[in-house]
Amino acid sequence: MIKIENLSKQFATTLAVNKLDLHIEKGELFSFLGPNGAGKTTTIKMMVGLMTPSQGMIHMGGFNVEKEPQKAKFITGYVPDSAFLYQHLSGLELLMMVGQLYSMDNKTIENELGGLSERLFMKEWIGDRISGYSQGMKQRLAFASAFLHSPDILIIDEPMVGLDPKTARIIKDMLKERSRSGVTVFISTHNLNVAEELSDRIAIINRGKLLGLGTVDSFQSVSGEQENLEERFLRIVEEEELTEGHNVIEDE
Amino acid sequence: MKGFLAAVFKQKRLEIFVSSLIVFGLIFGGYKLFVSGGNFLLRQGELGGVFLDRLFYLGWSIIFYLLILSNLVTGFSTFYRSPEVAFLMTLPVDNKQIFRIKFIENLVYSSWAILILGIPLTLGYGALQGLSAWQYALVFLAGILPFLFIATVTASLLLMLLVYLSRFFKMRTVFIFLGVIFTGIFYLYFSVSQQDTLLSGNLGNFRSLGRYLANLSNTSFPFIPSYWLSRLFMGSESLVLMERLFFSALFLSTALLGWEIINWAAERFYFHTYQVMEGQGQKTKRTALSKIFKFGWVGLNAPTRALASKDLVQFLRTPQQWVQFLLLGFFIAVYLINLSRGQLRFDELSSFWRTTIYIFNFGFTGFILAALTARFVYPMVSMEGRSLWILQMAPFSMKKVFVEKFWFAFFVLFTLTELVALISNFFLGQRLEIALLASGFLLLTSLSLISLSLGLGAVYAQFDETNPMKISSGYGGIITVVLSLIYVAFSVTSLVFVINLYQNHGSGLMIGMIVGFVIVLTGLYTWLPLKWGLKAISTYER
Repeated sequence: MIKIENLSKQFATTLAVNKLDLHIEKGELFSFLGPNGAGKTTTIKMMVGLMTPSQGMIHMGGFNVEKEPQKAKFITGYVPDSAFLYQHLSGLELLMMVGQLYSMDNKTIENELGGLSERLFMKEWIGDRISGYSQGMKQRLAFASAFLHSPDILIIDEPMVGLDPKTARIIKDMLKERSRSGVTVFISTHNLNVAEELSDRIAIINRGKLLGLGTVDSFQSVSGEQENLEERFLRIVEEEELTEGHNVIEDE
Repeated sequence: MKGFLAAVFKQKRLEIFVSSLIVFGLIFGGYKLFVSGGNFLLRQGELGGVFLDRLFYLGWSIIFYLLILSNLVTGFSTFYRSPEVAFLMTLPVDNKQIFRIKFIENLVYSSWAILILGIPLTLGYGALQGLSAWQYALVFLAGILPFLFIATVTASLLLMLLVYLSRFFKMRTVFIFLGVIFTGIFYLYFSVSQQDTLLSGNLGNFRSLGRYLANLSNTSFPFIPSYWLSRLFMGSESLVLMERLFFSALFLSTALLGWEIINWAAERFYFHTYQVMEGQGQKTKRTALSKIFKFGWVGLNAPTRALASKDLVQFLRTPQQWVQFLLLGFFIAVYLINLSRGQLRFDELSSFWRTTIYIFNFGFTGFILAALTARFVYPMVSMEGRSLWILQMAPFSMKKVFVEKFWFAFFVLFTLTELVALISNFFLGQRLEIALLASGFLLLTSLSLISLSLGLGAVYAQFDETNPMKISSGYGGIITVVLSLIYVAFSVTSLVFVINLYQNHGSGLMIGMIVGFVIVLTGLYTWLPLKWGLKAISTYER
């Protein structure tokens, strides 16, 4: 469903993403782990078409993001790490607008909105202006806008930022449900608990390079030793930093 | 790294060079235009001199009005909404000191762009008046600087009052109330100050022109600083020095009084009003505007409908936008009221003066359009701000966003300026074909100026800036204003030639060539900026 080949992104003198290769299947819940500045958000922005790769290619649902961006975007829902939303609109207006941008008719939008606002507990404030929303409310709204047009692929950058435990639980459940129904979910996070709880597979990235790829179990039991994901993650990143960018693990 | 820095530096140097060239070109061109136009008018006898004086009064009145307006709008963010203020408020710094720093910042922000328009006016009129170097220095130090300062003081006081009142009333109610009060005062002023004749009756068929000039003289109200500044330039022959000293003293004493008052007000009300504004950030209201998104706009597909609805709702919910639009509308209304109350009988005038007023009216409408496009169309792309990703993620190209913005602006501004042109030409008693000629030129002007502002607005987009006024007064905004005024100048000049040839039964081929030139210029002004803007917005990454 998602195919990334030899992907690189160069900013002036910084190589943010370095020859990344990933293949993610339909219905898979995939976590992309890495410390701050590892290249996670840059990769995601290239996947959703907000940035152009310096090298390599990305296919989303069979569509080349550079050559067929509109088709790729049509099947993709995206939640950014910081949800900047139109401050002067209300949540309801924003969702109406987003639905119409995806050519949905008003009746379908309203039907979808009913379910989403109930599930995400937005009913009380969805008619108020976004300028008065808390970070968590904005994040919930961003999720609703990503779910609204029922995309085949969900790309989520730091999904739990600003969410209270109750909403975080709901979002996790929704992501699992969607994954089970065939939606491919790609999460970028440095919250290892989230990755551990949700993911079918995990990739670890640092300084733009892929350091490891596999299931949670495969990460926890390497060379017969039992490590939790946090210990394993820290070790991989530290070793990579010591060896100045050489690949440490090829897990599959 | 070294290469990168060198490239950036080279790019910056190029930008500075180009912008300096354009700004100096505007100042020099404006100066030459004003001097040659002024000399031409002076050659027409006493009446030409009076007309020139009235234009000068009008010019500085418009600048004073724009200064207060821009101070008010930038003041909202400079004094109250800037994250820097929020940080400074947490430090052990006197609030009055914070206010003073922000006051100077606001003065500079809101004045420098407008001053670029005032410099050619000042230099040109000064040259016509034969000012010497020391008189220029006096006018600058004791006239223009206090003039800018007084505008900022007035706007800052008014802003604090507005914010204070918004504690008891909605900001919208306060603005509407003030609008009604202003309108009432202006109406009363125009009612009582109408002078039927500026010139004595023995000037025969100049009576109508006299009425027109008398109506323009309403801008020379003696209690506003633009009048003092005009007087500082003029002065009667016998009392030149005394008059200049009087108006200099008036300026300086008013500015000092203003400084005292603003310090007093800042000490008592700044922090208080800051808290009022902070509290307002939490208020949210459900309004009927939401229905716009459900409205079935005929002939528009769902994405275009969404974009247009979003632009309209955002505009109506941003006070910095609609208030200024409303005030500009009010300013236009005053101009039209002036014309309607003049009871002009255009046919009483000679062909020369008929054409002069017609051209002046066209130039005024073009200037209004240039101001509107630079102020409202230029920031349209930047106003998407950090929410731009929503549109970038949508399943269509950014061209659709661009096209929607173009037609949205064109529909509103072209309709408005055409109405102004048609109504004013009606009041001026123009023949239909002459009025339609101006309308045709205005159509081309609208296409050019809207494309220019939209295109350059995308090229020089500032997505991190939320204040549209600050966006407009940035580097790209100034270039847009200058290029817009150059187009208006070309358009006015072409219209002069066309009218002249038409009235004197000149060559049809020549008329065709001039119109062709304007159409080619319009094509360039429309196509190039849109192309550049579209490329910029399509490749924008952050």
